[in-house]
Amino acid sequence: MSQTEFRSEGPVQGLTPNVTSSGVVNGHRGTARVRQAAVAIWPLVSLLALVGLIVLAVSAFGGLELTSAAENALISLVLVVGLYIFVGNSGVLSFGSVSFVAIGAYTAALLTISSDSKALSLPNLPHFLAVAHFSTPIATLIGGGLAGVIALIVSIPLMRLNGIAAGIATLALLSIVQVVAQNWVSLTGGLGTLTGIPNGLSLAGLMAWVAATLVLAFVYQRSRFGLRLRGTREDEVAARALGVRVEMERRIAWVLSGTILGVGGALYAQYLGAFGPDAFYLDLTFLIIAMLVVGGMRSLAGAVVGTATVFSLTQIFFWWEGGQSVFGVTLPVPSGLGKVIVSLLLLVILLFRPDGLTGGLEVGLPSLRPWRRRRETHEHPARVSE
Amino acid sequence: MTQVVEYVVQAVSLGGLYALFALGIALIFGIGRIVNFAHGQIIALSCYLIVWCGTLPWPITVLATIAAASAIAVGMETMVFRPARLADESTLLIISFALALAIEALVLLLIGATPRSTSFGLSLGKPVHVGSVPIPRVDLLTVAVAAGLLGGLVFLLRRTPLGVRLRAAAEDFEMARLVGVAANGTMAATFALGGMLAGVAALLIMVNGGIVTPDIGFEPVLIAFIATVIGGMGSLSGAVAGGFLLGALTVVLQAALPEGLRVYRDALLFGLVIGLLVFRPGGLALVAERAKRI
Repeated sequence: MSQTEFRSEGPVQGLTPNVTSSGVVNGHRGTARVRQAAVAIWPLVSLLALVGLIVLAVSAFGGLELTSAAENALISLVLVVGLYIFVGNSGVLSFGSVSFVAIGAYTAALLTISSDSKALSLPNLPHFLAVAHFSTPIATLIGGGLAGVIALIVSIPLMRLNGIAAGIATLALLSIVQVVAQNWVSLTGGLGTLTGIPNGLSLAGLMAWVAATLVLAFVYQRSRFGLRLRGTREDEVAARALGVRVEMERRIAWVLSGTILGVGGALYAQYLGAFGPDAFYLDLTFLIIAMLVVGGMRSLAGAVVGTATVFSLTQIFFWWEGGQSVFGVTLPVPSGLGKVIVSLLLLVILLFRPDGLTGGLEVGLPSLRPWRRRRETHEHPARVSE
Repeated sequence: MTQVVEYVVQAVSLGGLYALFALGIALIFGIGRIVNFAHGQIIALSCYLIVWCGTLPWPITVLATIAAASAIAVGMETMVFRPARLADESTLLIISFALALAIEALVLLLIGATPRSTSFGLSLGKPVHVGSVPIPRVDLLTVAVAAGLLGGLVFLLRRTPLGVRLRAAAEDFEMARLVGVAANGTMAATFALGGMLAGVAALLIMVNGGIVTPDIGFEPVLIAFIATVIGGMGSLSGAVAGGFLLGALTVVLQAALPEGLRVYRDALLFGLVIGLLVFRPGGLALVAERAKRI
């Protein structure tokens, strides 16, 4: 780990090809190209490898409980990366994104619960939903798609607002979805719990969803759309002056983010097996925002690191609050202490390291001889621009 | 006719309450560029204080609540927002969000989720009869308090030296500092005023409902956010207008919606208001848009 360096991920660097000095000077154009490609995809590969290794370790050594926690963590990661696609790239906070998680979850639940049990628990369901039955992956994709469509509709008014107003107006969206979920009894079961959602999850399957999400997020942030949006994040006025349509770029990210959050919601619904509307309200909002901010909301690495950190912390306190031992340690902590600790951690990070644990940087290619490269660029700064 | 008068009184009273919520948020945002999520927690803590005051004479409860709310707000400013003053707006927004959640989590941990009730202001629920129309005293009180505070605030901002400093800071904080406005004092005064508004809001909420739970502050903050967004961020008069608009729309929807749809009142309200933003993304207030200076 000590040889891994964090690399700055600004819009400007993304636009210019990363020609390393050593490659050009030695004349190994082929090597240079390989190295260039490696540098380009390393931030993604390293994160996939990190998550993959943890999943492998859990599936090899973990018991039932640890496996379940790992599944929960992977779903959280899908949600946090989904949030990151909009918040991280645009710099506009969203407090209402959990709305899409709810939409994905309810959609997947209604499409996968067996018709018999729907006839009992939701007798007034519209006919096409009452008879609908899909496999879990298809239902998950439909959940994501519907969330994306709704994200597109609400983006029309929301993204016309300037950054900070848009962020807090999304809170109204969360409230609307909550009111509808609580009161549309024939569709959602109201305040009660919707039960009998079949669980089609496995660690490997979830890892595939996480990988797809990470790849999508990475490709997006390196695409012209992502780069333009990052430009508006760094300097909105300058980006506008260069002809970037800020509202449009934000809408694209918002819809992509909503879709992934919908997929995450569908997965979460299967994980929970039974849920009510309060599963998708302020607590979840707080948790995924805390995960993103603690890691550093400006980089994909931040989303992953933050999820891992905050999830581990909450899970350990959850176990302690339930009276279980964690690695042989039992602490009789009062229920609710975990949330206090996480919110204080969030506060401390924000005050002392506002860019999060990763500082908003991606994982850079580990250098075999970091000292040598540093000296080279130091002695011949002109080479870099050759 | 009687019905119409009742609705108008309700609308004005609810609008006044919402305007108070919105004013607390707009004041702090206008001057400190902080969207203060934790405003709701000042309200919540004040509500607990009112319950704790129990049957003390009401002037003592009122004074203690307002003083405590101001003190909590100033405490937030000095301990949390002052060290982060140079941070950008979004960071400040998450800081206030984290602060709000930390306080709520602490309240849950220390006091618990059990609702607490008080008989404070119970006698204000009785109606007075104006002609043949029964009007709850609490509605009249809300209108009077809101009007009084709005008037007082306008006077403070326009006619006193402190008001001049506050408006200068709202205009351009850096420039105001250069011409001798003390940053710390101004911010503390702003938060003290905001806290006072939260304290009064808490008193009115407790007179209206009488029950407090740890999440009591969320709804006022949500209302205040929407009101400030539709009023135009940073504009005090816009926030007040936004508050009254929300109050009036709520009463209209409550009266006009058929029984079955009444549960969706708030969803429709927010939906309508967000829809409004398609046509006026800058908010209702006709203030010249304060574009970011480069």
